[in-house]
Amino acid sequence: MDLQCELCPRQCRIPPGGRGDCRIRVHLDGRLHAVTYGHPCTVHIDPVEKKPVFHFLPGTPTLSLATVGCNLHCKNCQNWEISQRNPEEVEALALPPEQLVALARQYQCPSISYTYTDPVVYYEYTLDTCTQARAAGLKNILVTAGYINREPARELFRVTDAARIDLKALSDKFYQDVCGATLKPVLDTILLARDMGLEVELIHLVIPTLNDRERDLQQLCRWVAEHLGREVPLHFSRFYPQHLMAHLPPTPLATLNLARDIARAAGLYFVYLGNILEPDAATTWCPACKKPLVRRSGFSVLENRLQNGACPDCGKKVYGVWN
Amino acid sequence: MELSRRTMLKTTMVLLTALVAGGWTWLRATPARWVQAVRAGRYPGRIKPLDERELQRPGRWLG
Repeated sequence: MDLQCELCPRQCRIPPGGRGDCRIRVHLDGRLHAVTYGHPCTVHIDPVEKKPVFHFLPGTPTLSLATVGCNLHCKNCQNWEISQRNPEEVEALALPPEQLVALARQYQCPSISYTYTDPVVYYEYTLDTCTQARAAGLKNILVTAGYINREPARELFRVTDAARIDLKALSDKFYQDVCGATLKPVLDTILLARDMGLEVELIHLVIPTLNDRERDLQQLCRWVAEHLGREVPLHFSRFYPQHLMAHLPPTPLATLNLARDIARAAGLYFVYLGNILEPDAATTWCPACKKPLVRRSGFSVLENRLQNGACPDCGKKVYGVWN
Repeated sequence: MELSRRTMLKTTMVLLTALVAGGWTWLRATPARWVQAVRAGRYPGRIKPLDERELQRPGRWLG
């Protein structure tokens, strides 16, 4: 008899011996198995700014991991060598949740990031590690496309502190054509994360000719301002030719600057440009007195003037978890 | 119309067969639903040892 995986909106129907669209949820002996549980293919200590997460424990290292597999199939994926591969093709480590937590503590990482591919597909591993990490006083950061059903998302968010979620476009057609997914579940996940009190940051990869029209950017920024509020950070990331989109050019700097102007015009306070080294592309400005609060270059924090999460000049509280 | 014993048995058998076949088809057509999978722990690929020097370097992957 077939099984139906109800973790993500794909709702894969899996015959005996088969696997879901994510490649790592396998029907064996009449049960659904998470075959990458406890087996990350990559583990590193990254600056938290690399996620990018700018408003959550800035300047700290975060233990970052992924297993192979993904439930999206983005044609522009920069990590396709691990996200679009079967576990049989990629070597992995044996690190059960308690060992990950021990590693984070050993290397003085205040947080663990579930990243690189998508923690949705290695859900059980993420959930168990988040639970143990929280019990040990560590924070949990999800770096995800947000393509997950509501109930499992709710359960995971209960033990998560921050979520950096992709908002690839505000277009169902884009999600279908480029990612093999749909838009609505992603929006629902973003709203749920915000409602459950996670520190949410959004990233939008600007791809020439596909989602870089002025009208598209305006629509996206307005949605963020209206539904999430003006304080949620929005990162515009530069596209580089990759994977099945090697024929497209990198995003021109002018387009990224335009995106930032549009976002600010929509009322968003914290707008950043990523995958690019430009002065002030990653600076946090005080929404009230407009003075610089956190200056960054690449993945480094050059200066952090915040005092207890507030502007030292005007006292304005700034969205995020700063200490 | 009078129902003979033979006709009654035949009708009952047909109904029972239809019921069993329908139930079997329904069961086959309705898959068991799973949200959380079994924590397998049986990785189908190769296992590599942890390289702590590599661990301390930022990952080459985006994110």
